[in-house]
Parts: sequence; C-alpha cells; structure tokens
Amino acid sequence: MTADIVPFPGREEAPVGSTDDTDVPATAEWQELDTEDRARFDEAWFASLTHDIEGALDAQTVVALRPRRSPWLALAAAAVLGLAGFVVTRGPTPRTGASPADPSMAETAPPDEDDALRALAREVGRAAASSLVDDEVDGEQFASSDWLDAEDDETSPSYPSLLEELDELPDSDLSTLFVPL
Amino acid sequence: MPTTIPDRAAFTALVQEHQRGVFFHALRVCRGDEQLARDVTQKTFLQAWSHRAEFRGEAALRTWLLRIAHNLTLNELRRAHRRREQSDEGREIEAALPGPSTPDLIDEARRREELRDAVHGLSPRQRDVVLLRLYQDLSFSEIGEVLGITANNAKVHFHHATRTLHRQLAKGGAA
Repeated sequence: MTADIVPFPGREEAPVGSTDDTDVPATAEWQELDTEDRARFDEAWFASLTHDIEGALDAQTVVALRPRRSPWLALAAAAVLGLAGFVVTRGPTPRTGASPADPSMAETAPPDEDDALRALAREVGRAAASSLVDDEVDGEQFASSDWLDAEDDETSPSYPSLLEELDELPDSDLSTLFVPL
Repeated sequence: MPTTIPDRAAFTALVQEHQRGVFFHALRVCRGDEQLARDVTQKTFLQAWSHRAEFRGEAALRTWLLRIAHNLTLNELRRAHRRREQSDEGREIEAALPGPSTPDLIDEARRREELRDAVHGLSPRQRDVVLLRLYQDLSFSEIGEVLGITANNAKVHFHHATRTLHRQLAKGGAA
C-alpha cells in the first residue's frame, strides 16, 4: 500500500505592510496618518537637536579626558600625612619614653629626628610615585615601593676611603674641588 | 552599512542621518512627549558614542540605535509614570496645549488621536512591533533584534496587533 504524500503548501513571505490576512486592511493609511504629527519638527528643530547632541558629546569627552585625581592634591595630602606622622613621632611621648624637653635626653634626639625625617621622605616619595603612576599601570607601584623598602635591607656598601680617592685625583682637580674658606 | 563607529567627526554625520528615526520612535512610544523624546535621542547618541567599541557590525547601526533608544524610552516612561503618580501637573499642561484650527486639521488630528489611542491600547509588545514595522519599516528579523525576540514572535505580534487595530479603528471610523 502506498500513500501519496502531498506537500503542505508553503506560505509566501508577506510583503512589508501586509498581515497575511485578507480581512485586515492595508496599513498604508495608518503609516501615512502616523500616530504623531511629524510636521511640527522641521529642519531648524533637528539642527538644534544636532547642536545639543554635539555639545553633550563634547562635554562627555572633556569629562572622560579629565584626570581622575590631581597628582598635586595627592602629593599635598601625603605631605600633610607625613608631617602629621613627624609631629606624632616628635610629640610628648617619643619612642625613648623621655620628654624631648629633658636636656639629659638631648643626645638621643638626633637619631629619632633622623628616623622621622626618613619616614617623612618615604611617605612623600611613595605619594609622589603613586600619584604620578596612572591607574592602568598600577602594577608599577610595586616596583616603586620595593625600591623604597629595599633601602632598609641593603647592607652598607664598602667604599674606598676618601683619602685614597683624593690621592688618585690630579692636583689640578684638587684645586677646584675645595674652596678655601 | 558601517561595521564600526567611525571617529568623532564622522559620528556627527551619523547623528544627522539617524536622529529623526530615533527621535520619532521615542516620540511615538511616549505618546508625543516632545521633551522626553528629545532627551532620549540625546542620551541614545551619547550611549552609542560611549559604547561604540561594543558595536561590532553584526546588526545594522540603525537597529542598534533603535534598540538603545527603545530601552531608554521605556526607562524614562517608568520614571515619568512614578513622577506623575506624585503630581497631576502633567495633565494640566497637556490640556493647555493649543489644538489645530482648520476643519481639515481638526479631522486629521482626531483620526491621529484615535490611531494613537488604538496603538497604545495594544499590549506593550504589540505596540512596539507595530511602531517599528509601520513607521521604521524594519523587517521582522530587525524588529526581533531591537526588542530581543525572535522574528517569528514579532510576526505573530504584528498579526494580532493589526487585527486588533482594525477592530478598534472600525468602531471609531478612522480605518
């Protein structure tokens, strides 16, 4: 027994504006009428809109180009922080536990001052490095801080004595090196 | 059809080319709120410029812009709806707008109003499909890209929408 398979007649692609239904009228009239009155908006109106869009685009571009933070502001803030730390270090309770006003402790003051100055220098250095390095290359900040921290770990290098160095200099250079008092 | 967004100078030409389509679509969706449609048009091009790197050219630039504009319009309408719930000032302003003067314009305005009411009486999806099909002349595939639906789904929505519109406008005499 064989059965003839009759293919289902395919529907043609409907043209624009048609709905595949004969009982629905063409939509051309709706298109012509439109839901909004477009005649209200002439060339001058759209020229004004273009102008507004251009202005907004320019403003957006300026905002995008503006740096997200001022390096000088960051530097100033870091300096203030550093000075605050310096003041705290030199405050009424220094690390030695003695008052800085005590003349008997005058001998121990210079090392504390050196430490504080060194800390201040580090803070300012870190702030300067971090403010100058862009956010996209923040990875480089590790290198900056590493340099600063590594300073503590370095052992004192052995330099030849000053006298040995001076001995090797010609006399003409020696005459210009030192200014008579 | 450009496959990428060109530089800033060429973008101006794109604004001039597409701003009418974007503005009128927003205007129709928001039922003639000129200021809202103008704001949406401006934001559409700002977003297009900001996200130009994401435009790969798979879709037509016009379809991409209409998609941005459509979503922005719906967002603005939600905000406006929330604001209107707090105040009825909008209705008073709308009532104070001057209407058409001559009989022909009055008749055209009346029929337009009926058509607008009928279109906005549809479900939001059917309304969007009708507006994009009739007034932006998009294919069902492009409508699907704008609305995030399939082409067949868009076709079905359009079919039901036009039947409903026909019935509604026949009652009012605009069809």
